[in-house]
Amino acid sequence: MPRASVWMIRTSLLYFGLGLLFGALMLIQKAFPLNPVLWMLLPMHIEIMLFGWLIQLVLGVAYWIFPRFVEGKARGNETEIWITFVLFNLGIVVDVISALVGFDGFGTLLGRLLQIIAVGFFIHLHWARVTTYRHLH
Amino acid sequence: MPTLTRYFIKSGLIFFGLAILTALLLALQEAFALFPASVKLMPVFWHFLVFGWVTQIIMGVSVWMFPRKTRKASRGDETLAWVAFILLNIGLVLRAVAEPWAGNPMDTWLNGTLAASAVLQWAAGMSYIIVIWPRVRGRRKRKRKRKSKKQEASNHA
Repeated sequence: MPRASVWMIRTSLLYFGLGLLFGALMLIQKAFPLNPVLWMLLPMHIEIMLFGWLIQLVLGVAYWIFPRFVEGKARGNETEIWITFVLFNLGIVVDVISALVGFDGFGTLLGRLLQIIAVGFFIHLHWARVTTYRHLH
Repeated sequence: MPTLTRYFIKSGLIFFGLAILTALLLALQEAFALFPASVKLMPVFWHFLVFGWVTQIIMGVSVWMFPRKTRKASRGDETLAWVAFILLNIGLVLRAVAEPWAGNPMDTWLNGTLAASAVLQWAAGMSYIIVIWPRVRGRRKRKRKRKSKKQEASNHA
């Protein structure tokens, strides 16, 4: 497994743990109202579980497992996957902090912009790897 | 495919079916207002889909496919992986039973069931993370470890 995939998958596991904790707290709040402030965790729970856990895991596994190039660098330009990793996570962190401090509008926009750039790099890096080795035989 | 993976995937498929069934109920309610109580199933639908189906498939496939130290090495703490499977499924079923009707402060049994489902789902996720974490590793590290083991063996010989 390449180093970038290790980082992406391990980061996604950390997000999974955090998202689960938020979800469990809200569910307990639903059963035994402790503090209504806990409901503020809902947008963060969704962001963390969807982008931090599921999507990031898919990105990390795809970079590891998609067909590799026969010539040149096996997985393409490594810098691009690191840019993807950094910007994607920065986007999540910005979104989560914005939701936490009630700065939703501008913060969410900035977070999504960072994620769009990250996804652009990811698509550019993987487009040519969505292929078959059949024509080589 | 290991037994545990088959259980994860088949259980995931069942939750997939249940999620779509729940979605159908929600759609019928929206179109014809046939089942007013079904509105309360919205969070159950999302968790059947994302936790019961997608996450459970991920767990099953990763336990099967993620790199092992050697081809013959075990897939990590198998007992803990089974614990994750059992807790996730019990937790999700308890959630589906309790969540739509919970919230009445007088109904401590139902609220207790919902709180228990929260703890079970959290514990399932934590167990999975503990099992899979050591298997998310780079090739270089594995190669280096294999090389040093070979060297150790040759030194003994």
